Amino acid sequence: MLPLDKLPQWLEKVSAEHGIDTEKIIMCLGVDLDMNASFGEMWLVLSENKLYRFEISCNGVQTGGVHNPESVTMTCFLTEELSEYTIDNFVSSNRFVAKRGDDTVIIAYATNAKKQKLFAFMEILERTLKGETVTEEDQIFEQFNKFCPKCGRPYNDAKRKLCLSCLDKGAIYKRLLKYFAPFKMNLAVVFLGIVIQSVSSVLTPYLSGEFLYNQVLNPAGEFAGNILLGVGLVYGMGVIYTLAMIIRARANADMSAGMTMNMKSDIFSAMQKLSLSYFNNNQTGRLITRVGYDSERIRVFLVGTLPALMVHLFEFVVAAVMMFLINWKLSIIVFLPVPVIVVFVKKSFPKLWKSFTMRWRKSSSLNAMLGDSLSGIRVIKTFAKEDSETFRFSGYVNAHSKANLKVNALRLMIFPTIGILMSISVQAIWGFGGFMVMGDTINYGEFLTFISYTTMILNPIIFFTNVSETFTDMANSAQRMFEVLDAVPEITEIENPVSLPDMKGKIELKNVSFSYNPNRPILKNINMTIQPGTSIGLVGHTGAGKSTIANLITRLYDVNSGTICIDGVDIKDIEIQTLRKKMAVVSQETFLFRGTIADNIRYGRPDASEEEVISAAKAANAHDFIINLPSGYETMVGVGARSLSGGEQQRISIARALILDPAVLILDEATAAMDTETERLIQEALARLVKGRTTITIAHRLSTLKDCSVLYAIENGEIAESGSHSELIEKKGIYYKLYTLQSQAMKKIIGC
Amino acid sequence: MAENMVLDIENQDLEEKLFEPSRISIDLTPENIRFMRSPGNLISVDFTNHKGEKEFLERVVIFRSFPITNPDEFISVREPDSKKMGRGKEIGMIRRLSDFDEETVALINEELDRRYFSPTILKIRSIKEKFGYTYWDVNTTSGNVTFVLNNPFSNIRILEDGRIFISDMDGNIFQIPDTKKLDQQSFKKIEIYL
Repeated sequence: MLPLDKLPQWLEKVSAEHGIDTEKIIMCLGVDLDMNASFGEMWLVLSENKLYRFEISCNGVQTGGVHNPESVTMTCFLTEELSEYTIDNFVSSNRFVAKRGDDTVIIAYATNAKKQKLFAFMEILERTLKGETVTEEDQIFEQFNKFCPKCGRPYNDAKRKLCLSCLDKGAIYKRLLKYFAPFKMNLAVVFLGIVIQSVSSVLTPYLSGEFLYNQVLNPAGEFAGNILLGVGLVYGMGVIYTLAMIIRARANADMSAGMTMNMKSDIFSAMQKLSLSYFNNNQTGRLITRVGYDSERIRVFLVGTLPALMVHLFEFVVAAVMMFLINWKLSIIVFLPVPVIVVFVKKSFPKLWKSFTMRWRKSSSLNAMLGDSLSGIRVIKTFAKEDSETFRFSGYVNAHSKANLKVNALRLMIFPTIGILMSISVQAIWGFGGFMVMGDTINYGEFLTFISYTTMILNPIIFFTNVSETFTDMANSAQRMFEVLDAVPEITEIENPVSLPDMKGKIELKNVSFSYNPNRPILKNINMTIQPGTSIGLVGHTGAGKSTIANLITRLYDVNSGTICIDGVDIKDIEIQTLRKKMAVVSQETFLFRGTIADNIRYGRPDASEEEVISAAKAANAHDFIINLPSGYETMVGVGARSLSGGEQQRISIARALILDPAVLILDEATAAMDTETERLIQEALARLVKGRTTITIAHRLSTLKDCSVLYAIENGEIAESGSHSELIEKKGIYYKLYTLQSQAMKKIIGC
Repeated sequence: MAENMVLDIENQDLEEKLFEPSRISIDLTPENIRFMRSPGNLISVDFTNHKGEKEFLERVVIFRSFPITNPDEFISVREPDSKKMGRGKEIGMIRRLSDFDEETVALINEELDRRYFSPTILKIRSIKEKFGYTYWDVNTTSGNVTFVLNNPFSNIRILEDGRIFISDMDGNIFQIPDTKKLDQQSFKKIEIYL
């Protein structure tokens, strides 16, 4: 049986009762809706040429799957009677239907949780019907059996790609600690600083209380009358404490800057390696948050919380021990209100965190609104919506200020209350201690020391009560960071890839099929051979699959089935660097990076000389306008710098492609947004560029394709027709239709 | 180039045939369309198309234009998508569902309810957060379910009228019509995300 879903035991029994040979079952799938499309359970079983559906009814919904169904209704479909399998995507569910004769029948419903498996079921069904034998090793099952790249164990949930065994907290901390490795010296200094700081802060109460009063100010003391020594020691401790703090903070700052840098560049370089599809599935905004916010949080934890934890722990232990040594009865009084404080903090702090989160949410939606309306300011002005935008803004500001008010109200309630609770023990100590001093069971110096330790012990308690929150927060950030670092690019190079330094540019597509979404195939069985040095054109409607062919040839995506060969070598065996260096794409979407024009032109080949930059610009018909700019080739362009017109940007991107001297050139609607004059300039430039290269031109405007030797008309993901311009005109097919459509439009303009 | 581009078509009929769209969306009224339950429990239609011809379609699919705020108006009736032909074309629009007789409305609503199936949360039993994912255990109008959100702040949509739509990791959508009507315990659990 194919590894889709496992046949449950009760179903095995039921199947046998219906006379199904369980040995012959090809695959089965459990879905989570019933035939009324509400929560329930059904099973599909494919066995030989029969497709069985088991509808299960039981009392209420049983979570975790049905174990003991009350009754089972079986429906049997003969696969030879069914055709045109389709899955309708609903909002939260999917309907699997097929044609039976003239009718359409419903096979099953499933929620989106089962969507992937339902599609796989349909695909296997279709392939089996075509006579293909699908084996357990088939590619289709890979999506369900993803393994953690770290430990090799399967993910608990393939979609989440989160290995719980690799991401338990211990493992996270271990991995994070590696970021300390390059900073061993700093770490040592920080550690030493912490020790000195803790020791001096623990010693101070002793010196300013016990020592000053009993040994210096007491006439019977060892250093009686030596006030300078007493005060000097206390002051000296203060100086040592401050010095240790400064040195530690210095080393810490150094280390934290370096660590953030390392984390950010790790995340960034991991992201750069990921395939395009990763970026389609993740919002850019979230990715930016990951690089910035998460690494910042981790840094704060590593260099802020962790040392503070050590200091507090040390202070707490020493202070507690000292207090018990001085007077255990008083110590018990100190600790009496502690449970109350802990309970209060546990109860009230979550509320405070909640209010912080709410304020953060309000401020981020305020920022989002602000960014949105500022970047859309042109539209706002053209529609004269300034007032309503201002009104909308005041709504967000209002919500934010309310949230802020709540934070402050809570803060003003919580912290004074803690202060009062803490002062109970301090007051009690003053009271009891006062009596004890008067009764001489404790002397005044010891008593002062004791009081100082009391305050030293309460702050760590509050810190410990909350530290778990900080740990969880940090663990979440770290987990998100590792998720990016561990993500495996979908496009990978094989071991020992072929490099083609002298790529000729012969491109062959053999039975290529591709889809972004299994329900809507983009390309179906495409076959084409492009001879080196020739120029071909792709025409067709928007969404016909033209640009997808370009994406596959440049290997931004991998084909679902079939092969693409360049100079006879499978594209998957070719070094990715070679592909990027020897193939250039000029698309409608031009993007100039922030930098000079020259830098933008030599983006693909940073070592290109100034001479080469100029000749590329000349060939791209860009030289004349560049030279007229105030700083010539050194004019800054890109976001926030000088804005160039669409045609100018386009010509710069053509120069960028030209400087690579590529063997294969892909022009994806490169001139679609240009006016006729600009297009003429660019066409001229392109005519120079395509000489001696394999060129693939994708265009709506047929005049763009006049130099192509072979034209392919793509429709619905298939090559509908191919041939030269005159051959296609004679065919009176799609190309003819497009051609007449465009010439009719032209006729109207010139008024014939 | 301009001269080359102009191709004379003498045959006017051929030209018309070439550029004629295969289907033009029409306003659907009880006079020009009849909805029927197909033998496979789907919806078939008998209708008069834009050319005035009678047509029968064994299966149509039905969509709402404003599923959230105006579910009973602007209903789009379309041919289903197919692997061969790509995206299905629109047959027409129903301006107001109430223009049709009760039986038809019930039939159409049954189909629409399936398409826009999104359970209403009645009670939140628990929300647990682990490694940035929140695990929800809820009672809904269609039974008890557990689901996972990967980022509660971007996957909970709050409408101006106070309705809430939650989309989980699989893309399933759950709704809460009014958070104030939830019991105290449930509200406390979800409050932080609002």
